[in-house]
Amino acid sequence: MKLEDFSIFELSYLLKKRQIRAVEIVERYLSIIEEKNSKLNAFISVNERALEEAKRVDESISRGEAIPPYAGIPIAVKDNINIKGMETTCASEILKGYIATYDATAVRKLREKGFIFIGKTNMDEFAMGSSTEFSSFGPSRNPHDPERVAGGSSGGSAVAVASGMAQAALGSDTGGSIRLPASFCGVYGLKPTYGRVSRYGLVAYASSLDQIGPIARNVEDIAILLSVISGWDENDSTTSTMPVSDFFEYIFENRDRETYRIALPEEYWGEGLSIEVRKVLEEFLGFLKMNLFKIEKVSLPHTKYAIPSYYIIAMAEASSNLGRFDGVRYGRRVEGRTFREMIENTRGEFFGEEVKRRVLLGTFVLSAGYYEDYYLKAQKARTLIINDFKNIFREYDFVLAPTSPTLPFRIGEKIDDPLKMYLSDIYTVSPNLAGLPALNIPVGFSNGLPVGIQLIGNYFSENRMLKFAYFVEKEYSG
Amino acid sequence: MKKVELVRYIEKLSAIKLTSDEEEKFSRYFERVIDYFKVLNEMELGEVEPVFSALPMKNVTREDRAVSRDPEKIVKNAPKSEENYFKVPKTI
Repeated sequence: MKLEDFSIFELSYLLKKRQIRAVEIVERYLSIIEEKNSKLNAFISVNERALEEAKRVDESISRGEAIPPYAGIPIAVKDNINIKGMETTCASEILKGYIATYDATAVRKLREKGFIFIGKTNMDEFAMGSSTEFSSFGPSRNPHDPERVAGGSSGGSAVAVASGMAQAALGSDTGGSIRLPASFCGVYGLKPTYGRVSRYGLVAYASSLDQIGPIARNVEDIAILLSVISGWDENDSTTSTMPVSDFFEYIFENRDRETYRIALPEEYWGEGLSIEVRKVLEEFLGFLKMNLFKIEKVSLPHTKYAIPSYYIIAMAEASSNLGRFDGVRYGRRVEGRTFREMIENTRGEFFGEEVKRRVLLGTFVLSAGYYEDYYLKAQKARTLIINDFKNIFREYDFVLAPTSPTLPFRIGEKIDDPLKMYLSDIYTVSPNLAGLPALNIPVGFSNGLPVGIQLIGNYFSENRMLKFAYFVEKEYSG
Repeated sequence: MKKVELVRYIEKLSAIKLTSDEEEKFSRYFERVIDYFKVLNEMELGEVEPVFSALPMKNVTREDRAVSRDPEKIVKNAPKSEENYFKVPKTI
């Protein structure tokens, strides 16, 4: 068994039993990065102090000192989440050189439990994209076929996990940015309920949609990471005060067989779904039926309006959030004759094409005379989309939908057609609009490329979702 | 407003300087995407209340206290600074 086949829990156990050293774990991951990163482009930066930190863990163990539960386990972090003392670029030219002066709350919590940050991962610039091709560092490549995209925007995190360059990773998900790359790379990726995880220290894209979440090779690791990063935070007023359970303990202790009621919304299983993906997913549905789960077709009638509503809202919020990049406080600057001209030049020069498009269009939909036609309508449609889900969850435990309509597409295939790229998110944006948790579960391959199914749960039902995923992992995938 | 005037107006509001090539490209994109957004007009939305957050939110306040954040490191991130100040072009 290779080191990267172990779970976080197993590695921590071996470390405490002195059967493995933290330095060995970190060295192993660094050597995989050394071997694979130049080809797959998962990392923007690697933490030069990781090995030193591992040495300190080993010293503590050899002195018999108490160590935090997950000491020495290497985690990768998307490059829009702050780690104190490391560069945060958001894969943008405008932020290059910015050194974070504080830890994001999710990062601080991981640090307190002993995790080591192995590096910062590649992404679409400011998380705006579905393929990681809109990165100023070049695209990440799919480990299953390097000519194909990794999905986005957390592509680097998914690639790092899928190719064994990190034990697990953090991503962020605004409209599918954790789930889509997880599906394309064949790993688990969870967007938690809105408000479950603090966004403090995450560079904001669309604040009412953004959530930080874990990407991992197994359900146990997702459960551990979610337990660590969840919870109320005084620095993010949108975090929930709901108590956080120990998800790992929950899935470990509740292994009884439940009979789930599962809804399949017809709008997600219609003609837009490719034959290759459908075949793999239907095989999986057959497995669920064999287990006597109640699976029924339902309708989420406003699904058609999810993509336009999502992009209007996300772009509007982005146009406001990205106002802070003005060449004054961080990153880079292009001079101008006046203060105003300096700002316009800086943003014109250093924002990438897709970022400019979204900020410009977001500004338009919020501008006087157009606000009612676009932004307000989108927020009303959002109400209807939320109500659709609320109706379904009165009678069902979960909604199952494809994560992506197609297999991972070729690099360059959609880059010149933004609208085509936006439609990659067709199955993933609704949970963000509704604030619901959603998890990509890898369920098979087609032509050597991974296929994932998307499990959507009711608010704060991550424990039950992970229990279901754990069952699938053991009985179907494993 | 003419198409090109509208694009320049949005450029100003967004504080983003585009090249004329970019203006051309953006206006084509803009037309196509706005057209796509118009699908929302199909819906009867008169009585529907808009939401601005998926879950009900209320304003939360906390005690306002100073935290030390190493001003030198913060200012060092700025493209131009002098002592512990951000430096910008003359505004008046």
